[in-house]
Formats: sequence, structure tokens, C-alpha cells
Amino acid sequence: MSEPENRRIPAEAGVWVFVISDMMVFAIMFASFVYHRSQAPELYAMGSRPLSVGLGLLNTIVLLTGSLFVARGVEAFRIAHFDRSRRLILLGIACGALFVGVKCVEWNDAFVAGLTPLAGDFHMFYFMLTGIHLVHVILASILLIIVRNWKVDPARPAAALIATEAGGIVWHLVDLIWIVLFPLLYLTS
Amino acid sequence: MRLLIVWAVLVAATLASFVIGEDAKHQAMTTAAILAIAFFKARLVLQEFMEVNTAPILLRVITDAWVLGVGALLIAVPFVASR
Amino acid sequence: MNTIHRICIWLGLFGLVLMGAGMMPLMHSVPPPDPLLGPDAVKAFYIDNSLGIRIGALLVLAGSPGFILFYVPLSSMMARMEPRSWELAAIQLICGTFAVIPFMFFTLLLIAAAYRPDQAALTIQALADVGWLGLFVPTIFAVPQMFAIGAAVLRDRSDVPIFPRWIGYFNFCDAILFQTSMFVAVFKSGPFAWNGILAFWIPFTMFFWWFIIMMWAMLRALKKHPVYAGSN
Repeated sequence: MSEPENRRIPAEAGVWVFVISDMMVFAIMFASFVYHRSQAPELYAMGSRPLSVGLGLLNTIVLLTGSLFVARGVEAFRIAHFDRSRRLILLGIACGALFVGVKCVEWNDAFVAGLTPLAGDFHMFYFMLTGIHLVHVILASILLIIVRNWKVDPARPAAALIATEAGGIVWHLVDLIWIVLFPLLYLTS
Repeated sequence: MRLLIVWAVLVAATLASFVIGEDAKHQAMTTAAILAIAFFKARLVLQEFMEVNTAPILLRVITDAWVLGVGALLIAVPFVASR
Repeated sequence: MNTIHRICIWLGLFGLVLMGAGMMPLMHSVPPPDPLLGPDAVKAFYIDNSLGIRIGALLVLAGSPGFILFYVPLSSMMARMEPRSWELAAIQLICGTFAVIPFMFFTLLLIAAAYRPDQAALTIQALADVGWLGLFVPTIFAVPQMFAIGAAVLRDRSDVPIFPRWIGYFNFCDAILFQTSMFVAVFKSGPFAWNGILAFWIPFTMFFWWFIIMMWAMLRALKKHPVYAGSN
């Protein structure tokens, strides 16, 4: 396969070092969850029953919609529609906040029902995996806030574009992880 | 426009996996189908939103390897490891 | 300046080697003993290998100041980046130092656990528990430390940056990986327990590679970077 001229790496290579390592770490977490589940499927099935699939589904749609806003925001930034880009990225940040809110409701329901990380193996994984993912959502939202306030420096126009693309990629990474996490925890246990 | 179509496909695939999950309970094939849909979605996010489709070959190979490798692993583990 | 930097970096590596020698052949603690062991098994672990654990713990303790020596030139380099990252350099040094302090508690408590062969098993178990929890839970200090390094590296906009930019992203990866260690407080088995893959193997292996890579990056800067090259 020959490489066409216009192939370019989104943002910069270092961002991808981060993204791929994070994906590998989550792959290990997914695999250890699936392995432990295969050793005691009934236990995990019982553990997952009180989970609200509806809230999980809602959060999946929220993140996907956030990804759409952010992707269009990056697109707008590239053609120098900065105000439009900032508006779209703000909508992405709002999706992040909404995700955190829904997750709080979900966790609160679990705590009220007496389900803590010690309630069983399923709940250990459930709280750890969704918790680590939640930290990612919060960090990615903070990153988008930073990107949104980035002043375009005329002397170094590339820096702002790299920052915006990097913010978008990290946001999509968080979406990507949730896309696997949602069926693992909510649909197939 | 293209991004909007991608988003619609992703939402539709999410709903499809939800419906499959509701219909049949806890069968190995259902699980495999739901995970296959999930990794299809993951690849779509990588290709379209993260713009891997216009990136150098190396990045595409690495991300596709992740999708295929991790996807196959998660689908295969219950068949191999269960006693 | 250059010479002191080099001495600090190599003494840092020496400290790391001492710690490895203490942990692995002497304390038999890679991976740490299973948190699910009962009091009698725990007592056997610490008393049967009493001398090895005490000498090993002393080596770990003796090696731990090496990290502080290693962090000083690192902070010094961060403060020389353009723009100057004074605040981030301070965060790196202080959080890094806080992440070293646990080694003091860890070694003292494990020495105490192995100290009296006729000690009650439950007491030995309690001492060892505090020791291991005290090593893992405070690793959270490494998170702001590594985020600070990463931010400083990415902020560096001089024509020849002190560290290559991927070092910055690499530090972010490591910061993410260190989040999970503190949850040993909640779990006794599985990947998040203190002998599990996500609490022990991944963070500590990555820390080893982080150390080696940062060492390479610092030595490279000392050799090639205009700020350092040619000065002694």
C-alpha cells in the first residue's frame, strides 16, 4: 500500500502515544473483568440485575452526541470559524457535565440500595471501571475548557490547532472506552 | 454532514445492541453479537471522529489491531475460560 | 551545575537498584504477599524470612533518598524551560518527595513485623497491613507530580526544547496509570488488590520505565541542550 500525499497524523504523535497506552490499560481491565466473569457467570448476572440499563443507554447517547459536537467544533476551527467552534465545544462540555450528573444519580441509586464496591465482584468492577472512566470524562471536559479558552497566537498558529485537535481526540477516546464499557457492564452480564 | 451520518449510525447501533440484549437472555451468541456491535462502533469512532482514516498507515494498523485483538479476546474468553 | 546534575541522576539510579535488591531477592515481595493470607500464614512469611525482610527493608530505605536526588535536577530543568515552569517544578519536587515518604513507614513497619519471632500472629498481620497500605495508598501523590512534568514539557516552546514533547504525553500516561493503586484500601482480591495487576504490576512496572526514560531524557539534555552543553 502506498501512502497518499495528504496523510497526516491528527494533532501530534505524542497525543497518540497517550491515547494508545490508555486504550491498552482499559483493554487489560476489560479482559480481567471478562475473565473473572467467565469464572462465575451467575454471580455477575445477579450483581448486574439492579443496574439501570436505561441510564446507561442515556449516558451512551449523551457521550456520542458530545462527540458529534466536538468533532464539528474541530472541523469549524480548521476553517477558522472560531466563534462557531467555541460554541460547539461548549456543547460538548455540557454533554460531559450531563454524563457526570447521570452517573451521580446512578451511583446514588446503587448506594441507597446498599450496593457498594464490596457488595460483590461485579460491583467491585462496576464501581472501579465506571469510576476510572468518570475521572476520564472529567479530565477530558477540563481539557476542552482549556482548549476553548486557548488564545490563537498569530506567531504560532499551529499550537492552537494542535491543542484543539488533541482535546477532540481525548474526548473521543473517553467516548470510545464507554462504547465498550456499556455493553460489558449493562448488557451482557 | 458526514459526521452527522456517523453519529446516526452510532446511535442506531447502540439501540440495536440494546434491543438484542433485551430480547434473548444471557446466551453466548447474544453476548458475542453485542460485543461485535460495540467494537464496530469503536472502530467507527476511531476512523471518523478521531480521523484515523486520513492518518498514516501505522496508526490505522495499530488502532485496527486494538479493535480486532481486544474485540476477539473479549468475545472468546467466555468460550475458552468457562468450565 | 552539569556535574551535580549527573551525580544526582546516577545516585538516583543507584537508589533504584538498592530498592530492587531489597524488594526482590531479600524480601520476596515482588509481588507482595497475598492480602487474603490468614494471620498464621502472614506470621510465617515474616518470621521464616525475618533477617531477609529486615535487611531488605533497610536497603529499600537506604535507596529511597535516591528518588529525591533524582527529582532535584528534574525540577531544575523544568525551571529552565521556556517559559519558566517554576510552579510546576515545585509541584513536581514536593509531590515527588511526598511519594517517597511512604517508603519510610513501609520499611519501618515491615521491620517491626519481622522483628520478634514470638510476637502474636494478629499483631504481625496488623503491622504488615499498615506497612503495605502505607506504601500503596500514598502513590496518589505521583499523579500531580507527573501531570506537572507533562504540563511543563508541553509548555516548553523554545526552538530546542529541553525534553522532546512525547515525554510530556508519556508522563500523562503514567499519571493515569497511578490512579488505581490507592484502591488497595478497598479490595483484598482481584486486579485492584495490592498484589493485583492494576494496583501493583502495571503502576510499578511503568514507574520503573518512567524512571529509565526520564533518566535518558535528562542525560540527553545535559549532553545536547544549549543550556547545558559546554558548561560544567
